[in-house]
Amino acid sequence: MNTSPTCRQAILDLLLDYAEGRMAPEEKKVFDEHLARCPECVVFVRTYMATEGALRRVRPEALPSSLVDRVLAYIRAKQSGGS
Amino acid sequence: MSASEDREDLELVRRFTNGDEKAFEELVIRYYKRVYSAVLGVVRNPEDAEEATQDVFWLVYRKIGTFDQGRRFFSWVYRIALNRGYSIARSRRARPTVSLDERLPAFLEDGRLVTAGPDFSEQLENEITARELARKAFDVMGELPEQYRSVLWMHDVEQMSKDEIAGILDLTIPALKSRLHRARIYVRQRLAGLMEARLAAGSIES
Repeated sequence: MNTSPTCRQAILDLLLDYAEGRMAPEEKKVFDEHLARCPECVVFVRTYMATEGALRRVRPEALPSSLVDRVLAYIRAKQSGGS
Repeated sequence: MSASEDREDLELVRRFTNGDEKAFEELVIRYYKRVYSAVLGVVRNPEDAEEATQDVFWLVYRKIGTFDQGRRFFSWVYRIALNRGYSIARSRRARPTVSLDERLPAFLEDGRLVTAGPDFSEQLENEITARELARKAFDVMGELPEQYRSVLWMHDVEQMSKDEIAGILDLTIPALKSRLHRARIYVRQRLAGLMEARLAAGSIES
């Protein structure tokens, strides 16, 4: 099972587990060996991880002020409106 | 989310179904931020997200009788939030959904990667360029089909656990991971493309 993966297999099938550090040591070794020989995959892996890093930084804009009051008022209005 | 929070939720639900309106208010106070964030990931603008948040709690109020108390309250609420968000998003615009396959990286016959494009990873090292990259990633997410966008939003933006997301979306962990990975690859491809376009424009200007 230690045959070297192609770039396609490395990227499409293995990269998620690699990026999350969930690979068995043997598998990781094979993946790292691929990277040692493949500069394009190195860039792909780095930018894949950077993409995740960028997504982590996406923060919902500040909550509209007094949203909770408006939600509660909305519910009360709906209740009394009987709709 | 802890087990004690789950128990408190169920206690509030029980009080509410027994007619205690204050218990419902407590549930709103507890979850309005997370509901707002959930729907914002789908509808993508603050006005619609606020409207959707109100609708979600009104639905929760009316449908509480259908909530299965053997399950997690927040997972049930999150599902309602996603569905409400989807229907508002659909009514707003008919955005052509991209095909993720069209944006897969190109491989040669023997499986070799043609190119990864520019290495934009160092953009994360600087606060300003990192924020810009995050904004681009947010924009690009809007192109994803709903079922991919939700997974990416919940996992990478909201940083929910895979178990929690799988429970909410009723997916197996392998199916969830596959969606997550494909969605991330799509965003990576788009970011690489944007960066390449900018490098090309820069070289023309200089």
